[in-house]
Amino acid sequence: MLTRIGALTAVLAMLAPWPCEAQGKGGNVQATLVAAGDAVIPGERLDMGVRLRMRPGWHVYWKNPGDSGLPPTVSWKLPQGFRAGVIEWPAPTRFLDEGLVTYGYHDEVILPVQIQTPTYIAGDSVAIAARVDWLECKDICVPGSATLRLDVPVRAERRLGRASTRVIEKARSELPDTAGWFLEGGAGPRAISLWFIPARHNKPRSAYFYADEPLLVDYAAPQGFERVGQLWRVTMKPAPNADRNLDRLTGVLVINGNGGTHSVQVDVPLRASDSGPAPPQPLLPRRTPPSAAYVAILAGLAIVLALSVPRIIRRRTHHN
Amino acid sequence: MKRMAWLASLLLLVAPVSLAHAAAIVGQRAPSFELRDADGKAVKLDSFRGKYVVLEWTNFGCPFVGKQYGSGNMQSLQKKYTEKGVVWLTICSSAKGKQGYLDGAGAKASMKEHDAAPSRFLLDPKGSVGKSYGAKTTPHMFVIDPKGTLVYNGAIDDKPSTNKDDVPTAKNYVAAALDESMAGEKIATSATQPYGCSVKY
Repeated sequence: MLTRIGALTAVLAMLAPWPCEAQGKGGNVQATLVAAGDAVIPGERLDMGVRLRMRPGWHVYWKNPGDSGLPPTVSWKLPQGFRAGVIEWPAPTRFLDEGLVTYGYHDEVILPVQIQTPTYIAGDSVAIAARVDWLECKDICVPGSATLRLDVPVRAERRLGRASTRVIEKARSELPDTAGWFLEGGAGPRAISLWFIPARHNKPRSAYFYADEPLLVDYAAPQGFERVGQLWRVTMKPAPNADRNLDRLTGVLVINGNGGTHSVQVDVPLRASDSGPAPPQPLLPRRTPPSAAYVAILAGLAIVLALSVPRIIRRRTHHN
Repeated sequence: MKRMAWLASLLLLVAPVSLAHAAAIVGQRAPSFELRDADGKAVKLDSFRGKYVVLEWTNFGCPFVGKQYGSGNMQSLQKKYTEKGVVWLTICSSAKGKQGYLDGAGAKASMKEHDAAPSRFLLDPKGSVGKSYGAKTTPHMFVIDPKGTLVYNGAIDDKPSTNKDDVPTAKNYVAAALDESMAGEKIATSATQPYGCSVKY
C-alpha cells in the first residue's frame, strides 16, 4: 500500500512539474521567464520577471544605455484579458570602455514586470509567452533574442514558497525607491546638480546619477559628489549637445554608504541654478503623501483607541 | 613610493576618459582633420568647403552597421546624396586588433562586398579624428554645411535596434537634416543620442 502511494506520488510529480520557468538562449546570455508563485489567480496581479544570465565579461543595457548599446525589449503574447505592465528597471551599474561609459547589468539581472489578469479565465492553465530581444556586449556586441513560454496553472489560490517567488521578491525589493528622499535639481551652463538626502539612515560615501533622458548628461565625464550642509550633492557635466530646454531631471540616483547600496527614482524640475548655493535646507526629508495602507493602519488604531479608552476609564471608576 | 604608484595608477585611469571628452558641437565649426583614404591618399576636410559633408562612423562587424548595409539603406543614402553633390566620408576608427579594423586593401574589399558608395573611405586606426568628434557609436553620423559648420550630430534614425525591418518606418535624421538645410529651412532635429556598438578605439 505504502509503495503504491509512493509510486502514485512519483507519477503525479512527473505529470505536474509546475513549469514556472522557460528557457531561451542568446549566444552569451540566457533568458528565462520567472513567475512568483505556482499559479495564476483570476483577477489577481501576477508578478513576473525576465531573468537574463550572462557569461562572465558580458553585459546587457539599462533603459538608457549611455554612450552606446541598446536596452532589452520584451514583447508579450498573453491570453485574452491579460495585460502586461512595463519593465520596472533595476538600478544599473556602469561600464567604462575606451573613454565611453555605458549603463547596464552584468552576471544576472531580473527585469520585473507585473501582469494584470482578468476575473474570469477559461481553462485550467494559461500560456504566458514573450519575445525578449537584447544586445549583449563584451569587446564586441551581438544581438540576442529568445521566445519564451511559461504554462501556469489557473487556481483559486497560489503557493508562494517557491524559489522563483523569492527571486521575484528579491528583485522587487531592490528596485529604486519611489518616495521618501529629499531631491532637488538645478541646471546651469557648467553643471547639472542633484541635491539629496537619503530616505533611510545611510550616510553616502559615493553617489552616481544615471540620467534616463538622452542628451542631458555627459556620460563619460566624472561626476562630482560632496556634502553641502545637511544635504549631499551630485554634479554632472551637461552633454555637449544638451537640449537647453530640458526642464526636468529624470533617472536613478545610486548611493553607496555605511548602510549599503540604495537607489531612488528621480523626477524633479530643473531649476536654473548652477554652482550657486544649495536650495533652502529642509529640517526633515520631504514627506510624501501617506499611502493607503498607512492611512488604514492609522484609522484602525484610532478606532481601537476610541473603543478602549472609555473601557479603561470605566474600569478606573470601578476601582474607585 | 607607494603614493607615487597610487597616483600613477589614478592618472592611468583618468587619462583614457579625458581623451573622449572632445566633441563636435552643433552650430560650431566642425573640427578640421586630415586622414588617409583606402587608396592611401590624404584627404583634408577643409578641401570640401562649399559642399555639404556627411561623416559616417563604421565598423562592418557591428550589427547596427549590418542593419543599415544589410537593408541597403546606407548605400542608397550614399548614392542619393553624392549625386546631389554631397561629400560622403565613411570613417573607420577601429584600432588594429579590434573589431572592424581595416587597412586600405581591407577597406576596398569591404566596400566592394557591401556595394558601399561613399565619396571616400577614411582610415582612422589611431582614433584621433573619432575622438575629436566625440564619435561614440557605429553608426554615428555628422552633417557639415558648406560653410564648415556642424549642423547635425547623432543617430542615423529614430529606431534604435538591430532589426532591418525597422528601416523603412524609421525617420532618417541625416536625410532630414540634409533635405531641410538644402531647402534653406531650419533643421528640426540637429542633435540626438547616437545608438549602436561602441567605436572600437
